[in-house]
Amino acid sequence: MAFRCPEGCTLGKLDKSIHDRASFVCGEEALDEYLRAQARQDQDKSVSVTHVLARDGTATILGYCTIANADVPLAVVPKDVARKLSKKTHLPALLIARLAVHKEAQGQGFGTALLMYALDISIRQSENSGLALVIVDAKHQKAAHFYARYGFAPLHVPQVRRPLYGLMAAIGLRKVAGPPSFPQRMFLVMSTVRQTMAQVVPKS
Amino acid sequence: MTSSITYDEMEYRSFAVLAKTAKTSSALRTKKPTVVTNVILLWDLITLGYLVRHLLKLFHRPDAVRNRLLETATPEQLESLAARMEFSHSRTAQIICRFNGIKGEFPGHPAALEELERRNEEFGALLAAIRSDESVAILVSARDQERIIRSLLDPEPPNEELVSAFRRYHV
Repeated sequence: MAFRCPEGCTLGKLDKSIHDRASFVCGEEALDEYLRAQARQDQDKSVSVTHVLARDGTATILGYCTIANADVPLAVVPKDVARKLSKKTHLPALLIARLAVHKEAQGQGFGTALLMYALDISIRQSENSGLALVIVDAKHQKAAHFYARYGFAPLHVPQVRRPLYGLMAAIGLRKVAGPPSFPQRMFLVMSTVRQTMAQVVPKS
Repeated sequence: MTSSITYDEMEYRSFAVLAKTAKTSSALRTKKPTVVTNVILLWDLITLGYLVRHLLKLFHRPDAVRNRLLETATPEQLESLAARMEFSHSRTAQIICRFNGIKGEFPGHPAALEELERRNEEFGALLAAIRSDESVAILVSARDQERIIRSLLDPEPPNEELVSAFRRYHV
């Protein structure tokens, strides 16, 4: 099973001799700036790899995603859970650190294509070296909705306050839990991604 | 609570572990342990386990997670943090080895030792994650950690959107 690129496009590693980074605008200054100034440096240092979606035969970047290896150290895990984990002290993860689509190419499914490409990489990585999670950083509410649509669950969500806490907050004895802060970190377990592949690939 | 974790606080807690290992080490030198010295050793083991746990908890506190303590640190900061903690970790490992030699002599020792061993393994994994050049160390709060583990043990089936998107982009 292979990844199918959107028609008329190519997907590959960021290459400064091919891709025109300067003209990329997605609406988020930080993401544009990262692609222009930092992405290639991080790639050269092997910190992360940026995959670029471009129109066939042109230098125009339609979108990109930056992927890095991550490690989630586990500590002070409750005993009943630890027993089931059989001495696991950390979880290897794939971090989709950035994902952006050019302003003029938004709404055409390129974001989904990039996400599916990243999940495709995660499957290959889990087969070769083991992977437990895929983690993403949603920069804003719209991005969080996008990832939630595909089953990503948010992390660091403020706890739901009990009624008594609400009363204490009202009289100023306790801070009210605010809305989730962005960037919002979200995760999807690899078993779910593998199950997806199993459903799509017909069993021979 | 709005306080933020500082590297000094980590250093302090790491030194607390180190100081306890020194005290336990000298208590272990007793040639013929009596009931009293065994009780003291048990107390030391429990306290050492508590201190390591206390240090690890620091990394999973909501403010450490929210401020992306490890991700935002410079490589130099990470290196110096790991170097400070490495010593406490290896001294704890030494204590565990020495206790293993007298295992089973006093009731309560094996359980406390097992707990300390587990915490020190977690401590080692944290150090490895901090030191790793190939991956980013991502901290999660204790509550999220439990949620992730429960999802790993009992994964949700993929939703329709994911399956159809996956089908669309794969041949």
